[in-house]
Amino acid sequence: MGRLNDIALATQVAVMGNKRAFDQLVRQYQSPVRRFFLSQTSGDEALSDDLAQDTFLKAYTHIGQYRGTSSFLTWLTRIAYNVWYDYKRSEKGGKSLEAQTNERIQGLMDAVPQRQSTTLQIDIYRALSLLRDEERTCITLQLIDGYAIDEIAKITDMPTGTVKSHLKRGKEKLANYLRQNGYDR
Amino acid sequence: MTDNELLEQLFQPMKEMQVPDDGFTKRVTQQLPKRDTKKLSRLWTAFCIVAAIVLFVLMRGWETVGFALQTLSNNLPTQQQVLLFMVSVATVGIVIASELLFSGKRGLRYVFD
Repeated sequence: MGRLNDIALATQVAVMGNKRAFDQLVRQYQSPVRRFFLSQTSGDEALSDDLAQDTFLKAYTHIGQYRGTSSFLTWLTRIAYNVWYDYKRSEKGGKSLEAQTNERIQGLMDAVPQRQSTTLQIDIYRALSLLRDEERTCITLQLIDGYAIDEIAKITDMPTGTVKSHLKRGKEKLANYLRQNGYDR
Repeated sequence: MTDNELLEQLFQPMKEMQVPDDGFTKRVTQQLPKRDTKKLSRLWTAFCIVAAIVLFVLMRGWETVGFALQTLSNNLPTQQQVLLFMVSVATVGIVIASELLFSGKRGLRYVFD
């Protein structure tokens, strides 16, 4: 779907409140948005879907602010990041992501997984849960969603230098963990 | 193998992962709030009022109104004039009442907010 088509659909939503046009945008971009949250929550599908739903509802109510200067997905990812940031701020003091991930991964291993989670995927989620929130976000935006450093800086509202240092530290931690678990042989 | 190469290789399957919709889109569209159409309606009303004033001035509307009133007073019997006056007042009254009803306490001022 091209950017022009996205702009046309977004305009129909903004001006006429066309829900069918918005339905097309959700169908097109639900996968990358939910994948973003799966990476942040280390594979918590229920939480990821709730946060993704919040993201699309916010996108719908603020769609008049989409100017078409970036891709619709980049704009959505910026909203998704803010939704995630607000969620993390609201749940401070709760269990650490690492502890939550360990519980969930144990559950995934014991039960039949809802989606086929491979061992590699589980190990990556576990490794991601060891990172600081900012490191995890920068890493997943680059390695999974394929964003360049300047785009990550725009999405997260961080200076490019800060993004680079989060990526460097995060990658070191991830690579060490994965090597210790036999992934470099 | 460098850290970057190792991570690029291991993250590749996640990069290609497509999350199936499984009714997600339907759930989202069912929860969409109703859009506020008041703003558009207000803009349209304001546009119509401004257009009417501009046309009235450009076309020297007061001359036409004066001429019409003069013609009426010359040609119509008194009873018809009174009836016409009452119909006009009733029409203006209905318009003002509906504006007040739909715009709440702020009355006609809302148009210019």
